[in-house]
Amino acid sequence: MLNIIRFSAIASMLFTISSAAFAEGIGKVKKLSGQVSIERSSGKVTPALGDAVYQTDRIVTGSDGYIGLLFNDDSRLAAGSNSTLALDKFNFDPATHAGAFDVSMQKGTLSVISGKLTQKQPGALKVKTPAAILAVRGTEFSVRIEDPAKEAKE
Amino acid sequence: MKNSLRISALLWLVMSLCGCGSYSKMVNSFAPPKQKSALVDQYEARADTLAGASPFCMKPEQKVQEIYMVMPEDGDKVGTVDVIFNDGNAAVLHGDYSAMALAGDEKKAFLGNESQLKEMFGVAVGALPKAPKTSLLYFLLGADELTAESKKDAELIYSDFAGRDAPEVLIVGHTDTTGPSARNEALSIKRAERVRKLMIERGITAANIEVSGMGERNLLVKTPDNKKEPKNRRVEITVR
Repeated sequence: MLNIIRFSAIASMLFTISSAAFAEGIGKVKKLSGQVSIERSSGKVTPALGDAVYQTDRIVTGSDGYIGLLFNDDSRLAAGSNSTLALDKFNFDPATHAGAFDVSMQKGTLSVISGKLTQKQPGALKVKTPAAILAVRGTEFSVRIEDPAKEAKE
Repeated sequence: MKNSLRISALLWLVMSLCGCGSYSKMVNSFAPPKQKSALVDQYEARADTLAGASPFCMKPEQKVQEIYMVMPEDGDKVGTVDVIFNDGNAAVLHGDYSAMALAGDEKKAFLGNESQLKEMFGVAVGALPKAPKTSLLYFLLGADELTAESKKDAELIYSDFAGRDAPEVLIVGHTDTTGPSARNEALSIKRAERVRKLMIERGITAANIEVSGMGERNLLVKTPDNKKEPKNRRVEITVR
């Protein structure tokens, strides 16, 4: 029994690693200004206009930064300054438009215009905040989360 | 004298038993009824204003920690977002500018407006990329020559392209069912290539253009074989 658990743990680990290694771009950087960095498994990068973004990317904007992203299902996400946005999960079948899109915000501002995923299935795009999960049925909304660290300093 | 003493004692008793809530309620009851959004009734959490109107009942001011706002939609579309809070409560934001603010455990539904949206989310809203746009250009029979009307439409595509950062173009050529399908495969690619060439002439970077041909395999108007159909002689251009 223990062996089975161990085996499946290793198998799932291997799967995670391999799927990350052959990750396809899930969207592209279409708007960019100021200080923006992307943390991914391979390290920290400074994005340029037109660059691809990947599942599990964590996007961090500085006090003068913003970024706008266009995803493969035509969803559009934009983060304002002092924001942290993680692209937790993106599955999209271009033929059927089925799939799921999960992002999470730690702080800052985020504007969302949902795409083909929520057209196919309302709620397929979810935004997780420290206090809630927002399931987007369609189509445009914004979220603002005050930075707890900043408040503690004040 | 004795009476007024008795009344004040009674007041004191009521205050101490019921706390500041009753005082706030009492004071608030003098005011006209508060405008409430219909949303307030959609979730169980308390949605009234922060207590502490009385100078005796000052609560530490709670900062707003999270704000959600539905943005105005084009046409008759209506925006909807389901909110599921970590404490198990749920709310629905429905319609232009319907919004919610969280401060600690307090949840307050409100109706925002354009200037609030700009003030609270302006930078992020401004950073949203343009929506991808797909257009159709039509061709003369058996040729890679655009129809007169499509030549004009092509100009609109160029100008849309110019207004985008890091633009990409996907060009897919198609034919009608006139002639052998193998020749139509070649013709569809020739049509797509023709549009690609026009794009590059307008200064669009070749590396950002993707071209493919579908021959007669993806008809816009379903027809039997060997049927002339102008609507099927087309190129689909998606600018994103």
